[in-house]
Formats: sequence, structure tokens, C-alpha cells
Amino acid sequence: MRKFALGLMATTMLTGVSAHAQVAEGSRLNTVLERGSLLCSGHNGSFLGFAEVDDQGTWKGVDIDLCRALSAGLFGQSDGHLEIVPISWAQRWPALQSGDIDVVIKVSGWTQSRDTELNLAYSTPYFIGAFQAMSKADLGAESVADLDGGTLCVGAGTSTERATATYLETKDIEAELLTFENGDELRNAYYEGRCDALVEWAPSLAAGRVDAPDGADNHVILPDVIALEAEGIIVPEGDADWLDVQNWMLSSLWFAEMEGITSENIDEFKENPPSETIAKFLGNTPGYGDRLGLDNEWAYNMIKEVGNMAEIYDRNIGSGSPYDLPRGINALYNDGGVFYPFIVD
Amino acid sequence: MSEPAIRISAMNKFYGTFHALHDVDLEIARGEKVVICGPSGSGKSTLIRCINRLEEHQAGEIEVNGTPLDDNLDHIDEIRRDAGMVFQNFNLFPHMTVLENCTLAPVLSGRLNRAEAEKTAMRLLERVKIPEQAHKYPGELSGGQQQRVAIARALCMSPQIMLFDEPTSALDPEMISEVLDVMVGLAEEGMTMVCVTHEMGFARRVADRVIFMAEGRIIEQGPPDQFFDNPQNDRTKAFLSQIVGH
Amino acid sequence: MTHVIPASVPQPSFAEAIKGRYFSTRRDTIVSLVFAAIAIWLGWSLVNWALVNATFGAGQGDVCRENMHGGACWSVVSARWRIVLFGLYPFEEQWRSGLACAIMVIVAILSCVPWFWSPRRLPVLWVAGFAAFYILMRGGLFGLPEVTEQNWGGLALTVFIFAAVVLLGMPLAIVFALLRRSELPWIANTMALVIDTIRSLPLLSIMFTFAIVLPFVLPGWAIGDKLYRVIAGYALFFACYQAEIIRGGMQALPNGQEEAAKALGMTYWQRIGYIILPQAFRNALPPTINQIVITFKETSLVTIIGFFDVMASGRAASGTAEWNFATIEMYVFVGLIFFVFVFSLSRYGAYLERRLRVGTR
Repeated sequence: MRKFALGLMATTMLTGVSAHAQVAEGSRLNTVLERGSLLCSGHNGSFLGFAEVDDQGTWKGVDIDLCRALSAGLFGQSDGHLEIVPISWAQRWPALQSGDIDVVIKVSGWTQSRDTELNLAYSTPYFIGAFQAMSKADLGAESVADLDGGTLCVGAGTSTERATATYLETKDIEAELLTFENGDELRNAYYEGRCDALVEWAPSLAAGRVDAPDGADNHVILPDVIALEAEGIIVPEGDADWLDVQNWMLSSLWFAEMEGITSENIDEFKENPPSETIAKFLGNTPGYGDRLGLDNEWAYNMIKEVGNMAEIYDRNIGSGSPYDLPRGINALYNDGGVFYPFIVD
Repeated sequence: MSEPAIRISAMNKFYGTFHALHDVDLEIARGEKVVICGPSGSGKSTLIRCINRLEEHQAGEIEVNGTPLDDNLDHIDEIRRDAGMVFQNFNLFPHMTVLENCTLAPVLSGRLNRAEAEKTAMRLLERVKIPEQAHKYPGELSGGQQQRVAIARALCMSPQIMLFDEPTSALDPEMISEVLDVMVGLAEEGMTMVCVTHEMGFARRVADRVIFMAEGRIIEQGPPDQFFDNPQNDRTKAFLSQIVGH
Repeated sequence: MTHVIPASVPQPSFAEAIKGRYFSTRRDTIVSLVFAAIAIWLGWSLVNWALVNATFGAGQGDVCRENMHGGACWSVVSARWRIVLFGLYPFEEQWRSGLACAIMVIVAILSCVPWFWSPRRLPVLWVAGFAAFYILMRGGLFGLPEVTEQNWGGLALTVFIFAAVVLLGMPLAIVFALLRRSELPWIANTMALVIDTIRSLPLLSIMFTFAIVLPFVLPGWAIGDKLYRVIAGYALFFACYQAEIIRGGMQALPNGQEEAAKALGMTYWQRIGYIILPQAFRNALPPTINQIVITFKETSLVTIIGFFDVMASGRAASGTAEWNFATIEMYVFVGLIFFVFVFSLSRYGAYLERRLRVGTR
């Protein structure tokens, strides 16, 4: 009861109006708001494009930017309210359950076992990653079928390995799988010529290609989609309020992209909102935030700090980054992709 | 009539089911020098080691200087301080100098402070005629020198009784006499000594009483002249005839 | 008839020694030449790659890329060394991390100096060292901004974990060894069971349990920070291994040592402290140094539990678009760091052995 009252007080102070939100007492949302800072997942090392460290020791990447967006949405700005906790892949779920982190934003694939057996709940996917193969240009392969009789390098024990094995079996392709534990080892093995093709998650593949020892042009990513993995944000099962925040954060980022709102022009939009919906979205009129237990200007704060989904993508793995990964199906539906915002009412 | 230095009555010791010492009765008066001899396995070492609780007896009583030897740790500590022991293998502490070997126990037991302990140690080292080795490590000394250090170390605790467990058995022949000389000197100063040894010349010279043990029993005892020249028991005679000439 | 005894046996000259050892028969000569050729080729390739054709400057990323197969790109080290040494410690405060690490190293070196080997000075030295380390790293006092354990990383973190584990684990190991040796069978057997169980568990699972499972089981006040839980688990593991090493050292002692100490009236703790342990440690020195070196290297396991130790920092340092091709150079750099520490430890062990052998034949 006390916790709920405190949470209520906190949200009241934040909104300045009587809260409409009925945030459940045990929700992580309350824990985070009370604590005053968000514990978000990082990486114990580096995952190119999504969680890396720059020269100054600052985190950057798609997942990191989403963490920052979440923190800015909750607290107005992420500075001083965000802590990135270095987490290994294996440690994701235990750390979430034990409270070491509040949310897992760490390109986690949506699988049935994770969804049902581990007490986890998935947000709407925010990234679709394909498993693809990359082979040397002079091999002349144009699809995975052309690799029949060759060897494929793949990460040991990963869903990539299983998906590849299944794909080969389904398509009746005879190829040998060489597995490696370590990502660097895996990539090096391919470049040394130990196998004919490297199978990896597309962004990592593209990132690796950029740094090929003999130049990116000597390697081609084959168009076959061996499997498709939907990556979502993960919160503990049963925490509906916290999950809502994640889903609406993602939706807000897509909404902003669709309406053309960027971190640069957002103030103009706020001063002169072209429609009632956008006015509500940016907090000029109440309702968008306090239904979730947040400040009504939470979307404004978020986008002002990290930009919309397109900006996040471009900055970290798109044309504004060394990886230059084409957005493809990760774009909005009206851009050839599969993503779309929900309805702001 | 002062109490005996050591009194052992009806003492029995077992190693598991093996009966090592049978109903041993023994009284050693103050200032008395006793030599115990016998074939190997006779229990003579066991007996002497029971006196300072290096071995534990199962039945009977042992009293040293009036203090009973039982499970009481204070009694045991007191007895060990009253009775010094010299071992066949010297057992000097190899990681300490000769001087440190001697001063360690007195300082730790609180008997002497460091300065006093060092003075006492040097005096005793002079007495055993190796003061110049004070700052060497045991590994740098010969066997005879090490054993003399061991004697000095035991004496630093100012014991009233000295126990010797085959002190010369591990020495080369030419070094035996230097150690025996020290022991003779001790005897002449009136120290109560219990000595397990094969050195019969020493026994003749110094002992007030010689005891013969076999199979865990005291077979015969008596003053050296009587013991060596007129042994009563057949076993004693057989043993003596084997070591004649020493 | 007098014997003429030569003044000394003539020693072979250097050239003759080489010839005798490597070129005595034709087959030997061929084998030697082949191996020499291989060694020279390898050595030359290595020097070529690592030094001659290498790029060193910090901003030389592009030069490096052009040179990728020719020479090493040490620029990655010049550009990103801070991450390796300090992890994610806030950029402006990294001098604190460096200073703290240096203090740890100095304390370790001072412990090697015999002047500090007294029961009073050594603990004071280490407590002071740890206190200085903690204050510097953590901050919150003396106007230093606070940096929580979450952000400690790199070499400073590795050194801290290693020192803490050894310092906690060593006394614990002695206690375990003494309990294992107890005359009361139920104590000795229980201790044996505990030691054997913990030793048979993989270190990683112990760290995982302490880091992640324990918070569910312990009462709130006992939980503490993840870093200290992991150190506790690792120290326990270390203590079990080290206990057996110490026990081996004790068993190598002749019985007479303890008997002589008993006969002199020394108490149990005096015997243990002055006679048995010093000699046991001397016997157990090589395996102990071995164990300590292994402990240092295995601290990198903490990266699985999400600590930014030296290995994770190394991966993060090279794991960016700019430098992703230079992973080998980064691993070599981290390897060199390990080498410096481990080699120093072994050399120190050798020094200790020589020193403690004084006086024994």
C-alpha cells in the first residue's frame, strides 16, 4: 500500500495533475521511478552497432539509444538517470529476474521457449534480423544453394546454428557446418579461408564485412534469408504496466518518424502542432503520458534527446555509421518495411 | 624426603590392539640418572615419550614433579616445560638460526624476554662448546653440532628433568663422544636424566640405575656395576652379550 | 712416483660447446640447421609484423587498414588503451583508477620486501592499500565524485578482484587446512567433504551462483554489491584449492618438528604459527605460486557475469567499426599485460624459494 502511495505521489509530482494511471503496486515502473534511475542492459564486451564503447568509454548503439530513450521518457533526460549494466548473453534473464537490470534491450530473439518457460514477456518487435550467409565474391555464389558441397562457418550453440542446419536440411543442400565459440574466432576463420561462407545475424555480418581484411567489395552477402528473428524488448512476465511503457515507447518512435518529427524540428512541431493528435503526442494536451503513469511530455523528451526511430537507426547502423546497413524490412510500412506506429487517441 | 621427579605406576599403553607397555612401575628420584636399554621394539622409546605426552597412555598413572599427567592441558604444558627432550633426529627448526632455535620457546612461553633469552642461550651454547655457530642455520652444522644445539635448546627452558631418546644413534662415530661429553657434564651438575641409549660406556660412567626392557616390560634394573657384571635375568644376559664391547 | 694432477680440468670453449651440442653428427647438423632456419623465419616474420611494418600512432586507422596484411596495427592500442586499463570508468576520473591500480601494484611489490614481513606491518600495509584503493575508486569523500562498483573496469578491476580473492582466500585456506587436519574425525571429515565438493564445481558456476542466485536466498542486509559477492565466491574456491596445497606442505614436514615444538612446551597456535606453517609454506611454495597465477588469469571469468574486467575491456576496445579488424593486436596487448603480471609473480616465487632455502642443504 505504501509503495503504491509513493508511486502515486511520484507520478502526481511528475504530471502536476491528478494521475489517471492505475499502475500496479509491484510494477517495475514504480521501482524505477522511485529509484530515480533506469538500469539498462549493456554488453560485456562489444556487440557491433547495438552496444559498443567509444574512445571516451561512453556506450553507444541501437540498444543503448533505446535505453536512453526510455530513461529520457521516464525522467525528462537520461543524463544522471541511466545506468548501463554490462551483461553477458547468458546473464540476461537472471539479471532481469534478480533486479540487476530493469529491462532487457539486447536484441533478444522471440522464441517460444523464452516466452513461455522463462517468465518473460516480449514487447512488440523493434528489429527484424535475418540470418544470412556471406561468401567471397570470387566464389561466384549467388545463393546458399550454390554452396552445396562446401563448408559454412557458424557460431556454436546459437539459434543461428540450428536455423542453418534446418535450412540446409529443408533445401536439401549438402554443406558442412564448422562451429566456433568466439565471435572473433568465427570471423577470422572465414577470412582465413577455412570455410566458404560465414553465416551470422545480418547486422553483425554487415559490420564484419566492413572490416574485411581484403576489402568489403571482395565479399558478398547472399540474399537467402535462412531464418528471420524478431527482436523485442523483454520485461518480467505479468508486469503489464511496464510492458505498456515499452510498447508505447517504440510506437512513439515510429509515430514520430511517420509524421516527420525529428530531434531537430521537434520544438517547431511543439509550438505549432499541425493536428490535435500531434498536440496530444507532444504533451500540449494531457493524456498521452499519464495513462501510462508517465509525464505527458514523455514522448517529447524522448525524441528531443535521441530522435525518432529512423535517426536511431541511421546514427548507429545506417548511413550515418561506418556499417551502412540498408534499412530494408526494418523501415516503416510505407517505406518498404514492416513497422508501424499504433494509434494515438 | 622430596617427591620423586617421575612416578609411573601401573602404566599400560596400547597402539590399537597392540599392547605396547605392560604394567610399568617406575620411580625416578630427583637428581637420579637412569639409562634405559633393550632390543628394538621393547617399548623404551614409547615409555619415555609417554612421560611428556608425545604418546598417550591408556591406563595407570604418570606424575612428573608432582603434576599428574592427564587430559588437562595446563598439566601437560607444565610437564613439558619441566621436562626437556632431546631426539634421535635432533629436530632442530631448519628455518631459524641456532640462536633463534634456542630462544624461541622461552620467549613464547613468557619465561624470559628476548634479551634475557639470548643471554641464556649464548651461555648454554658456550657450555656445549659451540658459541660461534649461534647465527648459522642448522643445515650448515654437522650432526654432532646439531645435537649439541638441541641439548642447549632444551636447556634454555630450565627444565628439571632431561629426557634423551637415543641421542647418539644417528651420529657418525667420531661425533658421538662430543655429545656424550656434554651429557656427562650435565649429569655431573646434578640434572635428573632419563636416557634411552645403546652407549653402555656412558651408562657405566654416569648412570645411577640401568633398566632393561623387553616386549613392553621392565625386565631388570639395578646400579650399573651390578647390572653389567651380574645380570640376573636370562634375557638381560642375552642382550648384554650381544652388545659387549661397546 | 709422483702424480701430476692438472691444476684444473680444461673447460671446452664456447665454440666447441656449441659444436658439440648441436653439430656433432651429420644428422644433428641437418636437424639443427632446419630448426634454426624455421626459428629465424618465424622470428623474422614476427619482428616484421610486430615492429618493422607496424603502425603505432593513434590516429592512423586508415593507414592501418591499408597495411592490414603487412604489419600490426598498434594504433588500436594507442587509440583505445584507456578502455583496456580503466574499463568504463568515467573519462575525467580515470586518473583515479590509474592511481588506485598503481597503489595496488606498489603494495604488492612492498609485500615482497622482507622489512614488511612482520605480523603487524603486513596487515597494516594491505589494509592501508585497500582503503586507499577503495576511496580512490569509489569516491564520495574528499570531494571526489562517486563512482559505483558498476563502473569499475579494466585492469584496475582485475587487479582488485585478484588481490581481494588472494587476501581473503589465503587465511581461509589456512583455516580450512588446519580443520582438515583436526584430530576430531567429524570436523576433519566434514571439512574434507566441503573442500572436495567446492573443488569439484566449476569456478564459473560458483561465481554465477554467488552473483545471481544468492540474492534470492539471502536476507536483504546480507546481499551486498555483486562485485563483493563474486569476490566472496571466488575466495572460497581459491581457499579450497589452497588448503589442499598447504596440507600437502604440512604433510611433507617430518613429525619430529611438531614433536620438538611440543616437547618445548609450545602451545598449539605457537606451534602452528612459528614451526609448522612457515615450513609448510616453504614446501608448498611452487604449487602456491602456481595457484596464485592461475587465480589471476581466471579473474577474466567474471566477464561472463557482466563485469568489465580486462578481457571484456579488450573486446570492447577493439569491438567498434573503426577497429574491428585489429582484434589480434588487442588480444596481444591484453596478453602482454597478463604476461607482465604473471611473469612477475613467478619471478617473485623463484626469489622466495631461493631466499627460504638459506641454511638448508
